[in-house]
Amino acid sequence: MSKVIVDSSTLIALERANLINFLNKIDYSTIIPIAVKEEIINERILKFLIIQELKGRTLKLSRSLEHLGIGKGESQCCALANKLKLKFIICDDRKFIRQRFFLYNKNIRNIKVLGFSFFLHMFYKKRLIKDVWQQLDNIIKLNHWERSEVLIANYTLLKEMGY
Amino acid sequence: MKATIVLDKETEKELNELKTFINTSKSRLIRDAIRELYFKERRARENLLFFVNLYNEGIITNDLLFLLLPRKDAEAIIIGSKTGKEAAEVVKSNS
Repeated sequence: MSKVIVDSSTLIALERANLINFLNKIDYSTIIPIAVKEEIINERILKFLIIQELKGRTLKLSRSLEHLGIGKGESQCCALANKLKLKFIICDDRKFIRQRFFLYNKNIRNIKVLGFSFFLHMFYKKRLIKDVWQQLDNIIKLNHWERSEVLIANYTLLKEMGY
Repeated sequence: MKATIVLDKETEKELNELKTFINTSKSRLIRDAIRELYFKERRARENLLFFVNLYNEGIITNDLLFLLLPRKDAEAIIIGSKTGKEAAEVVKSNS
């Protein structure tokens, strides 16, 4: 089974839209680092996730990213992706998306950022949802992401995927 | 409508300079500035995704986005589009 590393922003968004239950119905195991676990207040979300602790070089990399001003959760996600040799993380944090765009740091630049629409695409392929656009609208409104980088990144991903 | 506006020293200086450059009244300059802001805001509120599509298809450039929309929205389109396109490449290569 493939792995995905997810930030709290995406998990909270899926929970608000009542889509969190679908995480265990797709062909990916969802992993979060400790810092992301600490950001999640709702215990219900945690039962769908695998929590991984950072050690040694991975923890050092995460701390070096934090020194650049990246949030702790996002830093740990990137460091963990680097350790697991994954090319991407799932994150819908507007501040992090902007930081990644402006920072010239290879540890950040090499890891692509996908948003909640990655899961919408997976849920649609598994026929768990009928209309990705309706779900996108709903999530954007529930999280107040109108007119933001998060809306445009997720919209562009779905358009590029042919929806 | 008549209005009293409060300007800081820098803006007052700019307004006075602009008045001599363009040779028009201060009221006219302020009306034009408000009108431009109003249209930019209306475009972003009502047609943001239309501009995203135009940008993604290469029909409009970065510069044009900044001319037509508020700075915040133009930046969101440039950053969001790049992030979304990179994400789509990853999803396509993984499926």
